[in-house]
Amino acid sequence: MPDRLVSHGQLVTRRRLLWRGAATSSPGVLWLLVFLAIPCLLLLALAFASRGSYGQIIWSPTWRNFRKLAGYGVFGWSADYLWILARTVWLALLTTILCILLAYPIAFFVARRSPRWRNFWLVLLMIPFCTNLVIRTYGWQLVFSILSPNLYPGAIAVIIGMVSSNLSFAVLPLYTSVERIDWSIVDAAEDLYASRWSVFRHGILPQTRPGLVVAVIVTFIPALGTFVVPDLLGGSKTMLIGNLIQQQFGASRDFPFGAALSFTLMLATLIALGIYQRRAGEAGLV
Amino acid sequence: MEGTSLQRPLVVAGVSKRFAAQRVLDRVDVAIAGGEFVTLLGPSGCGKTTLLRIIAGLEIADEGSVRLGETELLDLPANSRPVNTVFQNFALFPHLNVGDNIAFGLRIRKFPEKQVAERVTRAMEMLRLDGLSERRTTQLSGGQKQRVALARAIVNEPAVLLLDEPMSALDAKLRAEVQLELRHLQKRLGCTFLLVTHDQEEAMTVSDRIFVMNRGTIEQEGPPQEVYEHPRTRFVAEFLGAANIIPATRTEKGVRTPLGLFDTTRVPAWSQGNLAIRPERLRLVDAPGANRIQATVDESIYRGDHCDITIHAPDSTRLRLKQRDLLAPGQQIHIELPREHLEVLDA
Repeated sequence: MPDRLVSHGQLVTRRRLLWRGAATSSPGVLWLLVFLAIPCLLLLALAFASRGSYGQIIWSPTWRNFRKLAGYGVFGWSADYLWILARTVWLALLTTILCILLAYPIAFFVARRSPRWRNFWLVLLMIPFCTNLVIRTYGWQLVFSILSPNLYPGAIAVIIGMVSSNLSFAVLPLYTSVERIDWSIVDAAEDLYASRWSVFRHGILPQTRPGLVVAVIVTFIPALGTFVVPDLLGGSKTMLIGNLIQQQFGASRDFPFGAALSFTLMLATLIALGIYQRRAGEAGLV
Repeated sequence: MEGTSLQRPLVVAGVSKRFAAQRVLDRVDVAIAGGEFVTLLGPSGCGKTTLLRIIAGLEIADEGSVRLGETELLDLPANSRPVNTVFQNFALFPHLNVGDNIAFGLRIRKFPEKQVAERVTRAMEMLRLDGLSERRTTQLSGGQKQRVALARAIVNEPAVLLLDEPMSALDAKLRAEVQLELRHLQKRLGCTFLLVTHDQEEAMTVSDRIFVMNRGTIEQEGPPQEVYEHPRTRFVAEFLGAANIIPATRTEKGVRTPLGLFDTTRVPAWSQGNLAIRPERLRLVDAPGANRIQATVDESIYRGDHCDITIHAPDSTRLRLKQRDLLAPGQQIHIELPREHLEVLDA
């Protein structure tokens, strides 16, 4: 390879090009470094520190926090934390599935309106976001206490709250895919003897895949980290990892354990995403 | 293939369809014999595609019936009708390769895989798609995509094959080739083909019979030659090729027009109406006579295989004339409007 390249009619050296690239990308890189990479590293370091008797941080490396998460506490082994983790993943999965099941019909409904009404419905979908999540969740408390007091507080109330707080995130990416569907392919499936399910499977699903993948990701991740909804709608019965983390940085003042939990959650999310992408790829979903 | 079951007649009777306030189909009747190649020809918005979609089951008729032999198709959902469609933009499944696209209709109905393979192979041979089975549909040319769409439909051995402007996405040269192929394919399969198009040449090339549609009704039906040579309405005369339209009144001596008195084969039912004559039917003659007029040449355009000539009569009525040789502008000529080619239009 020659060491000199011609760019825009000028002779430019490789080094100059490198510098130019570095200069133009540096703001973004700097931003990520300061606000993402460094905090993450700090979090990782903190996860290996420990809590002093007064809640202060003792910076001597230890596996204590992770052992604690695995259940080895002061009073012997217990599965409490692992249960919380499992419950969190299960609830997030359930929320995601319910959101997707609801989001498809909503996306179809909106996409099949006339353009003017489409905007109306989209705005209607977005309006809840003008209200703080805490206030919206208190709203649900009120609704439950009037309509069916036996549901609140409880798991069903939490699921309803989580689905409602994530639904719009699932609808929007799906909507953008549904809007672009080539309906003649749907017609073709029907014309070729496909049942309702097969029409969806072969006519609609492959065409809405990109939106579906995004919808799953943007629903699943926030659902994993949620803590407001289970706190307000679940009573003390439905502790999730989000609540646990919040507790460590709040009432318990055990920052290192909180950091270890956060880090584990992050890692679990990344692994889950990795598996999802590979599986989705195998199933032709991406 | 089971010859008899493919030969069932298709009878559309009194089918109407409205979209909101717009009447798209107005009590349309179409009767097609089994094994016939029929074309619905009309401008965009005439309702031809809607009628096709109603037959396919992709659109619901407001009233009327569509019978295939003894079976009322309108009672069946689209996925249970023994008809298949070739869509305008082919509508191939993007997530399936060529072979899987063609096998779709068979696999959905759980045909044994051995039979699927046999029928797919046969359809692919018939449409010269051999060796493309593993290809992704995005790697195909327009002509190949069209043949895949055809194969995907005929592999199911439908009683009626519906074709929705299947050639509009192909370039002109390929189109002429495909038209011939389509005709041969239909004769070979022996099943009914119902083609929708706005291209009158295409309609005439492929069809046994043409139904000319306009504003949701059938204007005229018949074999290509009959529809072209004997148009019954002004719309048909002008939509199929070019026509000189001459306003006329009926008199006892013959049909009176601004050009003079003419003799026609058919006696008009109206007292005031129109005559039509194709530009290529105007005959250059040497002397005046019956059904003859004098005219002056305005413009002469050389087209290679023919010349388009504009002339005007003494009353300044303009006529178009098509003939082999050029005429000089300003030249005085005599023209005959032969009795057998002077068509009396109903409307």
